[in-house]
Amino acid sequence: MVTGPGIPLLLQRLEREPPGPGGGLCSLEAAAALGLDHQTLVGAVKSLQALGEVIEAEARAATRWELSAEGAEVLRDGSPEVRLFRSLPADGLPQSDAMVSRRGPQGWGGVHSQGGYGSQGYKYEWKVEEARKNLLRTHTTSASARALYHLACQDKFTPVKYFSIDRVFRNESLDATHLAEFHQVEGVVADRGLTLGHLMGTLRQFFTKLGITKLRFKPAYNPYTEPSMEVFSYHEGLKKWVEVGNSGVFRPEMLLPMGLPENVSVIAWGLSLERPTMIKYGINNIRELVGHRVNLQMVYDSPLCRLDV
Amino acid sequence: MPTVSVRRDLLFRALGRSYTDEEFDELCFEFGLELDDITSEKDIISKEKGEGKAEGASDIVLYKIDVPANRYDLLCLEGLVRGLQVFKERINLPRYEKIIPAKGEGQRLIITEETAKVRPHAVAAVLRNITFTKERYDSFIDLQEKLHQNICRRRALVAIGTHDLDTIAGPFTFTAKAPPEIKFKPLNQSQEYTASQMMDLYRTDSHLRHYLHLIENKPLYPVIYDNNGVVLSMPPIINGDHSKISLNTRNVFVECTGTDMTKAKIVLDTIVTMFSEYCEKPFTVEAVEVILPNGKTHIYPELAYRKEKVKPELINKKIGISETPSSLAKLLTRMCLKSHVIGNGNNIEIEIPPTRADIIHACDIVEDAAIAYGYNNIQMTIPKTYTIANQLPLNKLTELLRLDLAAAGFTEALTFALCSQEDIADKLGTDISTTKAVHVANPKTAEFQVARTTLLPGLLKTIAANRKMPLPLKLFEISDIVVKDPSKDVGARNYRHLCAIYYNKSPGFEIIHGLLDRVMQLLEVPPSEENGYVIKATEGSAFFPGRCAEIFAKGQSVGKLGVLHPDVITKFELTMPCSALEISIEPFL
Repeated sequence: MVTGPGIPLLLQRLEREPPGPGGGLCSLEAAAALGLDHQTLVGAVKSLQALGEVIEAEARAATRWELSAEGAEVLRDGSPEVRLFRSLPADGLPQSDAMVSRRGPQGWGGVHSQGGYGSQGYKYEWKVEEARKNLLRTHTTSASARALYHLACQDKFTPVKYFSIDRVFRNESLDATHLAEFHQVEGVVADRGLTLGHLMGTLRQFFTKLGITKLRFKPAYNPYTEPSMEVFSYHEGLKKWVEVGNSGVFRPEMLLPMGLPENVSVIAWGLSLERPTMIKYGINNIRELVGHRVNLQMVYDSPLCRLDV
Repeated sequence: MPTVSVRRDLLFRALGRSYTDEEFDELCFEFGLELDDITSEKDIISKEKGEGKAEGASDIVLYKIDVPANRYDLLCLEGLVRGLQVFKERINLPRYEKIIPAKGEGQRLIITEETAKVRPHAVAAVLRNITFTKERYDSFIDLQEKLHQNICRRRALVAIGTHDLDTIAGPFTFTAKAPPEIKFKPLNQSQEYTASQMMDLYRTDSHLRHYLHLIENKPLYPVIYDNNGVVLSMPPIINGDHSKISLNTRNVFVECTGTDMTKAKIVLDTIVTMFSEYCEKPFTVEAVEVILPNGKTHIYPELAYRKEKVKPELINKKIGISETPSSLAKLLTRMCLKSHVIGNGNNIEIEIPPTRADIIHACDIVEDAAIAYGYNNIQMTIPKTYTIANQLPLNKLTELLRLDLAAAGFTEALTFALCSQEDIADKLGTDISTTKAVHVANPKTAEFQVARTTLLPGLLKTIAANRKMPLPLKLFEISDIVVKDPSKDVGARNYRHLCAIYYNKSPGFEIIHGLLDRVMQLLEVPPSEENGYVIKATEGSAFFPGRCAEIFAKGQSVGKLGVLHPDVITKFELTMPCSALEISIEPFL
């Protein structure tokens, strides 16, 4: 005797349908009509099938189009182009003024897809849902960007110098020198008229404080800085130049959609905390420095960290 | 950062001179490349499979050069040499020319509407009367692979197919068909397969299996036919064997299909600019007419030259140098951006070639000027920015407390923010659903399943790794924990917690309690219910019954302290009693 929730309801409902290939019920519609959870109905169907020739069931696949969050927004308010069109006054607006008011996600979306602020853009379809996906930050520059956005929201621009020393996360292959989480040190200066020379000068003073004096700069690439520079210092022990940091001037496509004034430049640099520490103290395995496997005796015995001696 | 492997002998021959390794390293450094490794095929096989397998492998020296991710024009030996020669002013950048054949004589590629749902875009071009040698052929294949891995995003955005034009006949059709209807002999196979069979065939192929998912579940697969029904390719999986290229190939049909039109055009331009060097008329590319489903036609490759005007003062100001306009124009020309002074000498017109798709804003031009000038020649100055410094209040408080906790005889630990679900739930006698923890959707191992909601597991694991140390072990950590918070734009919030544990032959509840009192004293919070702090007995799943208290201050619960439950001790692989304290320090800011 087969029992189960929904079986009597299903059988009663089916009885009213003509038999054979033309008749029958769609399980989704039937579940809704009978007030049953679809899975429960599927369970009932499977139980009845097990009995033998009581019912016949066929699996079907169906696809449905559903509006994404961005789509719903477009349905409600119109596409970004329509919204821009509607927001313009009757006799138009110079393009530079229209650009400035697009602060926030629409501004960034526009820059990626079509360009703007003097840029060609990347010319691809930027999707806000993709941008909204959460991840553990891979660099502290994401936090610096937030801080710069708050700065831009001020009524009047004031120059700033920010720093941050905090944790970052990367999904990399783990080995003696790589962990999933480590720390980054980041410095940012935002002011009018900053140059690449200013960045280099700041870096020279910064690294001198860490006891590193012999520096060379190499052209590099970051998606959000241009020009970009990698910073190398000469390691007396290893007798070679090693990379000690990365730096650059933030791109206008990043700063202008935030609403920062056009003549404001932002120079920034960053380095990891663990790598220079390991080089300085001759530690070969990063797990001896970070995490629960650290040897407490090493912590007890460590001398003062005096960088300028 | 992509790495290009080039034979040192071929490189020096093309550059017209030899360098010592140090000299070449220096040249790379100046230009923005990195000579990552000097090796040979023998060395590579030795390292990967052992010295035995390396017998008979080539000893020829290979340079592994790291190239910036946005420089598609430097991904092969031909591009590197061209870039470096122009940089050293030994050659002028060649002018790339598109040859449009007479009406009716050129190749045509017809795109049908079926491709729209699976791989809508296609562009194509012809390299006429090209001469391949083994080295040029290998380089040609390598460049396609590099482009596939980088700008093509592992073939998802664009896939490249190159074919011997003399084995096929246009006009070509790019369409999409049901898998069982596509049948051809794929590259390097000895028999024909249907597309459905190929999905199974390549499931175990170490190289191709990664691309199957791009079309596998679509109702129609993309396919390119010639006029006689010969299959050129089934992008992005595999080309047909019929049209494969050999060292004797004289005319190459290049097709790029994909889901991103901009990138497809860049990829096509890159391949033809790099390898048209070996055509009978060097640096010329024969155009192909592409006909879209709606009847519109386009001529490819684009090979567009774009002109930008940039003021010399802007370049000087952004870098921090003061060069004359003509000197700046010369610097830019060395970077493959042909420039000259215009107007009254107060403006520079720059021609951006099709090989520099990375130039999208004036700041890219500024960087190139700085590279040509030499970064290390720029004078270092300090910004005149005057600001008043401040520490973030939360971090300032943390730093002050750290010092005093150490003064109280506790040792600081720095533990991981990511841990297993067990660490924050089962091992502490509770269920993961009650913790409001943020879960990682793609943890590499169990150790990265969640972001910690308490500092306790990290400290207990530190003790477990240091069991041989003399007792008592007194550890603390002041750091962030993470919990879900729907009111935040990212859906989660960090809280700064202070956690301390005492591990010894006896639990030391009085020591942990004393530490709490000391911390409150430091925070100027008096031991009183109305305007200070108070502790009240409570139950805690991680704690010994009757030995757990909740701490109330500033009108709220700020944490707990107590003796840990023996189950917790055992689950963390410890053997001695342990007492713990954990509070949030944020209410005390």
